[in-house]
Amino acid sequence: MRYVRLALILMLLPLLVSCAGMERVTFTLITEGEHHLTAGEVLPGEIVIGGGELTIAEGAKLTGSLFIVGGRVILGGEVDKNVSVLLGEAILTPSARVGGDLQVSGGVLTLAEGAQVAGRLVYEPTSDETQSRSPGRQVATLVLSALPLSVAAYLSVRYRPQPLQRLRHALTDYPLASAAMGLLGLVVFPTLLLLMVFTVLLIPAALIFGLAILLGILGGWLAMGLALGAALFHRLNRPVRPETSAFVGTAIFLITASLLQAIPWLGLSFAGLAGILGLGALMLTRFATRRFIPAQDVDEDPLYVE
Amino acid sequence: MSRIFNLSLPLKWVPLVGASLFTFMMATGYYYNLTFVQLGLKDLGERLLEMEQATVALYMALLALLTCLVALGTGYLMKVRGWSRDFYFKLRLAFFVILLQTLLTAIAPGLRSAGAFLAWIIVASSALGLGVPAMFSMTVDLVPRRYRGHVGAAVTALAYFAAELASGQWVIEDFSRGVLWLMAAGAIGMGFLAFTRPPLIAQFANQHKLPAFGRGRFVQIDAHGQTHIKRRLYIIIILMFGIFFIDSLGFLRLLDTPVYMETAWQSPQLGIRLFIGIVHVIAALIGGILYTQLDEKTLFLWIFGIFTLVHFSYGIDARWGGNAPLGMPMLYAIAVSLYTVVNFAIWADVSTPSDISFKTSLGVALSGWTATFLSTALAIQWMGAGMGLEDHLRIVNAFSLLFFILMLFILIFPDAGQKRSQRGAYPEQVA
Repeated sequence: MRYVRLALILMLLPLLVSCAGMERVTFTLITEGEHHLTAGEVLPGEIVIGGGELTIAEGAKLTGSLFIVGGRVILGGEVDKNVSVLLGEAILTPSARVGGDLQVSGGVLTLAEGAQVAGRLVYEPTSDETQSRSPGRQVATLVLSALPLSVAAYLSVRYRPQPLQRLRHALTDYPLASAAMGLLGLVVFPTLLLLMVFTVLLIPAALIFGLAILLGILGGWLAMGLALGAALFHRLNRPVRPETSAFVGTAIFLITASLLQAIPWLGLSFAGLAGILGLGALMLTRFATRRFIPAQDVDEDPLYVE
Repeated sequence: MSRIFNLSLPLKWVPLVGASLFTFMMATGYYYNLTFVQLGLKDLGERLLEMEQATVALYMALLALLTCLVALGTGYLMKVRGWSRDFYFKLRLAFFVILLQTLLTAIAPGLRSAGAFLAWIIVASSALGLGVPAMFSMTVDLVPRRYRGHVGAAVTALAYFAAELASGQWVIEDFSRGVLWLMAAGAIGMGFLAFTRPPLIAQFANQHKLPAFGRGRFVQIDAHGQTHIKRRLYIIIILMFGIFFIDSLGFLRLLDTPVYMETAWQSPQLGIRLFIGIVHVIAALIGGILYTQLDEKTLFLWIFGIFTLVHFSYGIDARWGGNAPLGMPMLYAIAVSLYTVVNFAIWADVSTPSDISFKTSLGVALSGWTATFLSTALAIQWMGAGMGLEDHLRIVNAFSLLFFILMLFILIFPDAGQKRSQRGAYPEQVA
């Protein structure tokens, strides 16, 4: 998810910059490694940090805006325009100067005393931070955040059940194939999206493709909810309508996923695995348009005594 | 669901031991091919014998061509004489090949003239050519049809992981030392199995008669008991040729570009080579699972698609000054592992025990060795003509894209005019 989000942000940025109506746009994209801007150096244009580390020493200057969507930036010098922190980490030392706004909508910001921001300091707390304020509100937020997708699962199963059923079938009957396919997609698709953006011509196609994948992954989550609900009511021996089971299952799945986020590695692993399985099921069913049937005959297994 | 592990049922040990034996035999053979043959000989010619790069490439092309011819001849002879079904014959031939290759490996670092190198190449290509039908055709005796993808994955994972970790410096002395003890042990073991004929071997020898072993996955039998595969076999050979050709043509150039080799496959940092090795292992496992679950055309589409992405990425990187991010060799490793899994599984799946020796030779020789021969010759010509890295990669990328589009076309219009086989990834389409 993070990579898809990162890819989408990176795809959107050139579009947003191009909307400014300038004749020529220069931007620098940093994705890995350590980079240093020493005193006296001036870097023109916008800077996008997707990974790695950038150190801007005191006396160094950026003439454009700085977008941090991953990696780490240590700012001791001057940025003429805005600094936006979407993901990653930004450290503003006492000598840092920001000519425009400092916007933080994710990631980590360390603002030393003495650092100057000429414009506004816009700080949008992340959902995790919001939730940590009160336990009651946290539970309510948890349930409410699960509601839209649960309703979507309910409506989907009620009015157009085939796509979700195809995804559920691939997920529950062929989890290994779904995982393998999902893993392959996870590695290949971000690269593909990024390269499509580099061609410029394919930016609209990349956007559509990226959105389709995101929607598909959401569909995968709903399918997992559907499978969970069906298994749960079957275990309880309580027959309910499929849409009700889908609603309950999706809600339980999403709430569990949110709760697990509190446990660092487990939460990430659960979300990652769910995303990979969902993406894999989506690809096996060709975006939920076909029921997946494996190519090979399931013939007698010569390795086991039946 | 594809079942790999079933703890509730007792295992049958004979097929398991057979599949394991095949895995280690093929993994060793492929490791030898990856390291000693493909990289060691290049080093021998260029560094120890101080030959021109183009001359060494010519010798390598000759090796590929001779191997191809010997493999085709041996495979055909085995088919017409009925040796293709004879496990004992294949075992003895494999023993002879391993013994010969062990001797050749031992003397290779000591070669001191171009003439001796040429003679060595001729003998080695004969050994390799004999080895292809002998070893590959043991698949029908040792590997059950439903596990061919998994066994292919194990072979690929073992060979590439070992090759990545084995040596940071690609010199023939290291390669020779690395494989010699393995091959000597293999020759002794193979000799024991081939000539003492323990009871286990008798059981292996009859396995190809079982329904779960003999006939390949893609071989269909009509109402008269005749097997049909020809058209599909030719398509698979063409596609595999395309993959080998693209891989070889691209990698030959990367091999001569230090920035891409020293930051990846030849990195002095063990961590980077370990990372690539792990990527190979994971991709091989993915390939093994997907081989049994997907239509082979879908798998080919993925492989060509990834190769297109890889060469496009290298092309862009070369234009932007060669930052060589690790993502590029990672994608390359994924594509290579996927197709290697297919290569180890697919030839048995288009064959029957009677014709596997010839079809395997046809497949491996025509796709693998011919592609290597042609790509080597082409790369020499391009380098001689002064073609730059960027242009070279752009042409390789164009080939990848061409095959990718061809695969898309085949998938969108299956069998163009003919009804698609009832068994496939998406039989709903047929209905």
